[in-house]
Amino acid sequence: MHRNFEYYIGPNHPGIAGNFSIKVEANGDTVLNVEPEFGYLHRAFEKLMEDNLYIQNIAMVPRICVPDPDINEYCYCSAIERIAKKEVPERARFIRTLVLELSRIAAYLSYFGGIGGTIGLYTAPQWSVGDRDYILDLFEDLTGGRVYHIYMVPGGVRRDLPEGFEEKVLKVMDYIEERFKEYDDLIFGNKVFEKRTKGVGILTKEKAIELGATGPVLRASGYSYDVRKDNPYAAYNKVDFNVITAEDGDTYSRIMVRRREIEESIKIVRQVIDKMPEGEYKNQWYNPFKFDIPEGRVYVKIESSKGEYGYYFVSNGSDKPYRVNVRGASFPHIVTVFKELTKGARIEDIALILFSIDACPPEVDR
Amino acid sequence: MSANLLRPIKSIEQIFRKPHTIRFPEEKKEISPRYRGFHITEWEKCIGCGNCRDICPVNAINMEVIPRLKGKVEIGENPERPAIDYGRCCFCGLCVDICPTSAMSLSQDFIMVEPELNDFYFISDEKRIDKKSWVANEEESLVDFKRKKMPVLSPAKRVKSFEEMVLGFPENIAIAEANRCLECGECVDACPAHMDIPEYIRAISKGDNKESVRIMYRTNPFLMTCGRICTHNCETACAVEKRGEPVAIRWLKRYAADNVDIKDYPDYKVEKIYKKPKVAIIGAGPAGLSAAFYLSINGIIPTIYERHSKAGGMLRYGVPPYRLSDKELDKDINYILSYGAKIKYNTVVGEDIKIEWLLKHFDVVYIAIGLQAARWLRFPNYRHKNIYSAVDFLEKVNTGKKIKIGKEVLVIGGGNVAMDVARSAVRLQHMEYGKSNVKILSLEAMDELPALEEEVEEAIEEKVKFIPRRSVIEPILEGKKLIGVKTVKVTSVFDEKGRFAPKLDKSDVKEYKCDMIIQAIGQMCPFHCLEDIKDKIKMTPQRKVEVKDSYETSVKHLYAGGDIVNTRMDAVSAIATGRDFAFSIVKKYLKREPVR
Repeated sequence: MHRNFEYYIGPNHPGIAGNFSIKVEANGDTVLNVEPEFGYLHRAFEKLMEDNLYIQNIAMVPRICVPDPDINEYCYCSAIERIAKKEVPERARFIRTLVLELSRIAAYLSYFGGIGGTIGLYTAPQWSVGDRDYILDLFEDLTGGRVYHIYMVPGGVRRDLPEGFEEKVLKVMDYIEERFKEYDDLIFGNKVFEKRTKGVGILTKEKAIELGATGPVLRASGYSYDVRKDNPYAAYNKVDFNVITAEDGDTYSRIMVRRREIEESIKIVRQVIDKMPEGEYKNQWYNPFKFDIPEGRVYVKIESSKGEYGYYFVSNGSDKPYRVNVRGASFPHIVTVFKELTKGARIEDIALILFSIDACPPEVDR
Repeated sequence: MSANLLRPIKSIEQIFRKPHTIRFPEEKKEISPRYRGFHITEWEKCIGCGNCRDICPVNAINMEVIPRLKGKVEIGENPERPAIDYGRCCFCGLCVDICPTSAMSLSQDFIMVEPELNDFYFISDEKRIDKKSWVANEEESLVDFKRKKMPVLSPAKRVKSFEEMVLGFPENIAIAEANRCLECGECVDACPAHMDIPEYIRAISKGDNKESVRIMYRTNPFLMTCGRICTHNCETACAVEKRGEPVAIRWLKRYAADNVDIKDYPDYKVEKIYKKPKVAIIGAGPAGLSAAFYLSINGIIPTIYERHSKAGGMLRYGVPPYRLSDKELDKDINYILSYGAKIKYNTVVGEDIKIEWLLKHFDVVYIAIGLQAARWLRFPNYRHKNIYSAVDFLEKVNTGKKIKIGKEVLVIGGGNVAMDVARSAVRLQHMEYGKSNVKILSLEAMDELPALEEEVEEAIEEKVKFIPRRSVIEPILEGKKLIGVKTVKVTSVFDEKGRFAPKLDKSDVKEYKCDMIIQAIGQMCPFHCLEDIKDKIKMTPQRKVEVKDSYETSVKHLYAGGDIVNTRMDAVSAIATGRDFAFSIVKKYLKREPVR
């Protein structure tokens, strides 16, 4: 007979993805209950947006998700475009798709680093963070910024593709594809990795749907749902890719779904580059100081690296947004799914399970 | 994919590869040509408009006054330059994208090590500069440099009558044009009347023309007029103008005024009519009427003495109807007079009524007589019946009096009046003969013409021919009939100091055929109407009436305004002096701030 213990993990802990903490109640090695405690990263983004001009928010929204910032820019711009009923040029749609996919690859790369870190395979973070930098170099060439790109504006993107950018992208894609053979050897084909992840933290399909899981977490439980496919935005209806699913719903599946999705992303990037149309890259119908956005409300959803990511956007016709609500994909994952996954888990698996759902605290706290 | 304990060992070959990392600072990373680093502000290009400060999402930019630039900047510029707080800056580059003059850019420089906190706040200049990287060309900029098109009558159509050639913006285009304004307010300083331009343009862009008109009436009672014939100094100062086409401020004013009925014009509640001071205004031109308007809404009802049988002065008799028709002018004047100002028409001061009498019976006498007298180029036989002055010619055109227009008309002069005269002559010729032959002879070369560029362009569209750099020495007469002019070449118009001092080359003589000459070389003030007082009035070196801030001349109770005071002789400057005179009277006699 063991006594029950409470463990406080985080907000600063190598096994925690960002600034939030969990309270674990355990009996011996067995977890009885997990209480996620968030709010450490609350920066009132949604409220701040109401005080800024439409154009000024462009510089702030990417900060809502650090590893995958472009989803915010896309949602924000797309919401404004849909309320104002303005067209985005075809080329801008393709450039946006390219940026979103590159951002997804970069987000997954840093995710694999985290996985390596939680299992104790410390070579993995060194590799993946190094390789992610090649994508950040691409972003630097394209947008002028490495982490926060502040690249999309309502109506298109701020700059056209620089000269020779396509070749650079393809080169980096080839490189990453090559590298993934080595990643397979190091991480995904590692016996230790397999032993630690298989059968750990199982989420059944029914439970996943019930708890509001989306993205790779849902797909790993065997449910094929991807906003890119089911509700195409940007130029996703012009490219061909598969929705990756797995059946088991365990930590291994969740990680491997992402591993295989990178290949699909590389496929999309190549197609986008191949099909990139000529023409305008922005359709600027507004004066940055005087947006003429009519009254209206819209929900824009896209597929982020974490799951379904959405902005509920309300405009009252003034030069500032009336209300923006961010639906962070990580919120249901961290609050409900994580609790479900850790029921009866062993205490050493907590960090791994948490990482397997790839939660992003800034988008939980907004 | 089969998991295997030995597979990770393959990674050992990494030892023999080159590392990802860069050995800083020995090794330098190659910075992308679009990198967003520290700011570069090119001071020669910067006009201090403050758009970068306004768009900055994190309030990192502050416009600081630069003492050594004070008093050295042109109209439409501020002696301020952006100072940036790098504790706040988020390097988004929106300041670069909004900069209308392309003065701002971001560099590839991103390393800053400073010991003091305050060192991170400094005025961005070219001191700590690396290569320019994030720049915004016209296409990339957030500013809309393209003006919306104004519908106008085609040249072939408009020369057939005196119908107004500019048709005015339709609603959607007016709102789109109003939406181009960045609201930096450079135009306000440039406008002689300091109208609240960004405010009224914002009202137009929101579709509230009534509010827009109300804002305009705070500073200017001639909206229909200024919306058509203003010299639009504001547009020259417009920040967008530095790299593109300025916001069409004048056409927007016209749009708002056209689309508001006189019933919906602002309703000033005049609470009390004051018996004192009694104000007499000489001349019902733009200065006189604007003074009358701002006096009457403040409860001082002036008496205006006007030479003609209708009010408006040069606006009515000097501006051809294709630019400003009587109907539009009457809307302005009717509204001004609706506040009670009395006008005594057909009264010539100096003949019908003496200025001494006015000074005795009124507390304030305001002279706004303008420049009604023609200036003549006194070559031999200049009093020929086929040689007109611009003032006489335009007055005849405007009052509809019959003019025997020549078949070949020569206009002397290169200013806006010369263009008005030439284009009126074109219309008269078309109405009379079905074709036109008008030449403009000017001392200045084509690029030196003092007329507005658009006026010259429109004149050329109407097939007016230009004879630049010539000077008339005498008309050629055949008996009593005028058949041409003899001209000589002008080698230069201005001396090194930029003063007007034409140099002629008398050996280069050329003759031009013409049967009618109209001199449009300038006007002067008919000072003789002031009689004895005239000698007591102090003049400035530019032969203008010297006035104090309150527009009082050196003679007590005698005030002056309009073209006889202004060095810039356009309608809006005259309007501004009239308004300011009215305000100074309100402050002086009623001891309160004027209602506007």
